[in-house]
Amino acid sequence: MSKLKFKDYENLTLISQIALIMIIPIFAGLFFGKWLDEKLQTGNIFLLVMIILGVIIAFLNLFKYTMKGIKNKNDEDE
Amino acid sequence: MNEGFGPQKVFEIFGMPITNTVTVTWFIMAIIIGVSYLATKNLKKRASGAQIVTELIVTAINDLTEQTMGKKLKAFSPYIGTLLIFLGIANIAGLFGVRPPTADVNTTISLAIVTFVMIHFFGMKYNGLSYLKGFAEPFVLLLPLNIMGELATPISLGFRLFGNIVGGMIIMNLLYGALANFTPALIGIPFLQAGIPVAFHIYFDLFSGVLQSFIFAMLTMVFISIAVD
Repeated sequence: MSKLKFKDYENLTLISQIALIMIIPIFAGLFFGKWLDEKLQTGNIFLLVMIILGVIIAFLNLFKYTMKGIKNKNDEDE
Repeated sequence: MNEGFGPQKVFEIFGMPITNTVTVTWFIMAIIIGVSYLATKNLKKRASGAQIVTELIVTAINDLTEQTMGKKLKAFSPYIGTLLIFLGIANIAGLFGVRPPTADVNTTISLAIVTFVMIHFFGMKYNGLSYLKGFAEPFVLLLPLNIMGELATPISLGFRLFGNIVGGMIIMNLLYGALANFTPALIGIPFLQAGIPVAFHIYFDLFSGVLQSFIFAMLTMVFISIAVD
C-alpha cells in the first residue's frame, strides 16, 4: 500500500493557525488592559500599553512560525 | 447554564451538576472501549474481516504520526490516534441528535491544556535546560513576551475547535427552527425538514467536524515536534 503524504497537510494546518495566534494576544491585551484601567482608575493608559504588548507578542509568534516554515523548507531541500 | 445553546444539566452527583456534555462523553468513551475490545479480541496472523479494518486504521495513524513527527516520536501515535478517534466521533455526534461534547468550551480547553502540558513537558524532557533558554531568544528582554505568546497556543487550539462546532450546532438549530415554522405555513405539511438540512449536516457535522479533529491532532503533533526538535 502506498503511503499517504500527511506531511503536506502540516503547512496547511499551520497557515490556518496564523490568524489565531496573531489575534489572540491582541484581544487578550485589549481585555486585560481595559480591566486594569477600570481597577486602577487610570484612564486608557494600560489599555494602550497592553494592546501594544499584544501586537509585539503577535509579531513574535508570527516570527516563530515563519522560522519553523523556513526550517521545514530547508529540511525538504536537503 | 440551562438556557440557550449552552450545555444542559442532566442530573447531579453529590451536588455536582452533570451536563449532557459529560453524559455524551461517557457514551462516546463506552463506544470506543467496546469497539476496541471487540476489534482486538481474536487477533489472527492472517487478518480477515474486522481485523483488516482495524489494521488499516492503526497503520494510517502510525503513518500520520511518523510522517509528521518523525521516527523518533513515533511513540505518540496511540495518543494521537485516541485524540483523532475521540474528536472525530464527538464532532459528528450532532448527526445522531445529541449535543456534541466539543460544543462545550470546557472539553476543548481541557484537551488544549493537555496538549500545552505535553508540549512543554516533552520539550524539557528531550532538550533539558536549553529548552527553557529558548524562551529568552532572540534576547532576554523578550522572556515575558515569549511566555505570554506561548499561552496563545492552548487558547487558539481550544477556541478554534469550540467555535467551529458550536457555530455549526447553532446554525443547524436555527435552520430546524426556521423550517419547522416555515413549512406548515406554506402548505400545511412539514416536508422541507426532510431534505434541506442534509446538505448542512454534511458540511457542518461531517466535513467541518472531521476537518477540525484532524487539525487539532495535526497541530498537537506539530507543536510537540517543534518543542522536541
